[in-house]
Amino acid sequence: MNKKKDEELMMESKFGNREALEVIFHRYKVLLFNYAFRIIGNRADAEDVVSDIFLVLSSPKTIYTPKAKFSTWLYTVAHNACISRIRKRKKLVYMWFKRKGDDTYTELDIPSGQNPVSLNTEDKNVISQIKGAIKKLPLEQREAIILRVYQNLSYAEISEALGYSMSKVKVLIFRAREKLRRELLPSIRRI
Amino acid sequence: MMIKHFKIKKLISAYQDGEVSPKEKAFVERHIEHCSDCKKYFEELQRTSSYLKEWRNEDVSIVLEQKVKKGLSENKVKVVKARHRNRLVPVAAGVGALAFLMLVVLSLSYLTTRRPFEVAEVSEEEIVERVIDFGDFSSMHLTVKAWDALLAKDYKKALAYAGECIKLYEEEAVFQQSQLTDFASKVFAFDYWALNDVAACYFIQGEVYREKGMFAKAKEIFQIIINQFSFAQCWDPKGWFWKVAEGAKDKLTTMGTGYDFGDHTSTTLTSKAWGALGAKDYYVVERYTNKCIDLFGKKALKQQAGLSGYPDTKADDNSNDILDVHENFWALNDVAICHFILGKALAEQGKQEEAQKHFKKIINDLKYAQCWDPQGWFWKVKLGAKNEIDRFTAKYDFGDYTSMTLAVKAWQALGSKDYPAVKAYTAKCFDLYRQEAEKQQAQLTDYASKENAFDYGALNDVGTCYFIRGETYMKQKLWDKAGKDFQTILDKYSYAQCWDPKGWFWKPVVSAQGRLNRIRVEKEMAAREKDERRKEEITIP
Repeated sequence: MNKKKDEELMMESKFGNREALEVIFHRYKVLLFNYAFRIIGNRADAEDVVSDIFLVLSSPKTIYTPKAKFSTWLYTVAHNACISRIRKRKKLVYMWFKRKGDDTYTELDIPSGQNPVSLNTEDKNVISQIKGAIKKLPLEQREAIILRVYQNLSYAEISEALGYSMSKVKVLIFRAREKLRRELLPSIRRI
Repeated sequence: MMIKHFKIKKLISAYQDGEVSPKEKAFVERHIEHCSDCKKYFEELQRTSSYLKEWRNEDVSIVLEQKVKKGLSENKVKVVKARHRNRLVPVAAGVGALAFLMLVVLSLSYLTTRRPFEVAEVSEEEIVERVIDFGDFSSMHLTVKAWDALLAKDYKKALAYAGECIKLYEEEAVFQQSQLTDFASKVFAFDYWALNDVAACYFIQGEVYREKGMFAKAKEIFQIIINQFSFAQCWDPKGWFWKVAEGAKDKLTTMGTGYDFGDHTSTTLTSKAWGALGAKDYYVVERYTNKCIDLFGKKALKQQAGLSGYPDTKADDNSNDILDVHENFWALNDVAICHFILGKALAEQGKQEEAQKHFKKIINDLKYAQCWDPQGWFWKVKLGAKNEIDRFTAKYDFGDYTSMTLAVKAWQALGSKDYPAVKAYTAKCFDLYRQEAEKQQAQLTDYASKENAFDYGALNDVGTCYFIRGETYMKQKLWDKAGKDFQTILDKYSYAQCWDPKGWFWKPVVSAQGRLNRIRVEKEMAAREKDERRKEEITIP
């Protein structure tokens, strides 16, 4: 089972093979969790997104055709799951506390990413600066740069995963980089 | 030039990712060699990229693994059902011939190894889960659903959601609690999601049992929160975390007492306090108002400090501004109203002095608070407090408010044994002239001469008023209170003199000393009598 390609496993899962999905989960759990965590900025929500993704994969309504590379398709699912989680979060906060006209919530707080106990203060500062800078990016730019820098996707794969044209991906990544450079350069120089 | 550089920079970004054609690659490399600006830009981009990599990937938690596995196994039912409906989906999906053959073999082998109707295997638990939609099983979803069910008084569902959340995440919650030695700061609080949500779910369960009148069970659950999840916090959209264990403690103390702090928001506490005041349940009024003042007093002072006038609510303003006043100054408004309600409750019980303290607190410290009247306007709490003070004082005629008038009126009231009036006149005198009297006392090293004595009117009258009030207490045999007033004369107003209409000055301090001696004797006698009575009680049998 472990030697099978992602595409094969995915097709098997459509016939009710739960183990196939479990193998996929073990292959992609870290990548998907970190992708969602960097997009949403909240650990609990990122875990929920991963769980949402696998509910989607196991749903009989989900149709996967092995035309596209599986990992690229998976990032499309992840992208959609992140967006619906952000929307859902807003709705849930509204439902829970019955507040009208509250548009201030986007991600509540961005808590510490890596295990706070294991990091020293300097590391925490670096990470919180990076997080802060990424958080400031518009969602489209944030997704594109995260897929490029952290998930190592090519421009073509990003274009397919997010459903944007190649030239748009190029511009999004360039703009995101430019903003991050301006934001982080003072800290980089200090190092 | 600018446009050209923009295009080159875009190319440099793509070049860094290896996403350029060979022609573009050659161009960028040549350009970087000659253009120092672009070379610098390229280097900076490289450094930024490697800096970004400092944020490394994290491992996923065990809880997530369990959750996904559980989710997958629970979806099995749906998958089986789908398989019956869509047995030929692969054909329709147009998969290549080889893949199709492989999948048919796989599907046949799968079908033959299992019974075709696995729906029969659905456990009772799964049936319950299908009736109650647990959504994505996230702790937050379950907690929100449980809260909603509790609010809708659907206790069965509330218990089911909360129970499911506890079942799934209690272990992680215990672990997260063990990582803490104090409450997590606002920034890190969401890292302890399981702890927060599990404690909230226990709280909801406790509330269900409490509302159903099963106090023993509810107490047990609230105690679990206090003992095991003491650092759990619950986010309130107004901008703070409330401490679940504190809430549990409140529930334990209020259980079965007929009052309840509800969701602990200032709005709830204030409206409950109004209700209790209407029902003249003063004990409950005190509980609600004091809770609100305890929780939000500091926040109210902060909000007041940011104001230099009443927040704008003009006549032609739209409803958003009204909302703003509610949203931005909620603590100030609600705390002031709580002081007002408490003041009214105390006044209605005849505790005028204590009531005045609360009204004065509004006037001095919370002066820009406003209260929304459901009939459609704001009223100013400070003006309400002033009215209340005036209403109390209006019973008595303070004349021209001079210290002499007040002292004379206090004497007259003492003569006619109208003790509340004595209190009112002397209190007014103290309010208006205490500071001046202390100043005058500080200027003297001995009694003022007969000619100058009238220059120290404030000192004389305040000293006299203390004497008069002390006398009132003496007549009521309130020895301690009387002693306190006479002692004040000795300590602070020792050079006060009082003009006797018969033609001489007498010194309150001398009389006060005499009274203090008498009080001592009275107290000793009372103690001796008590002692003797006790001895008699012992000997009689």
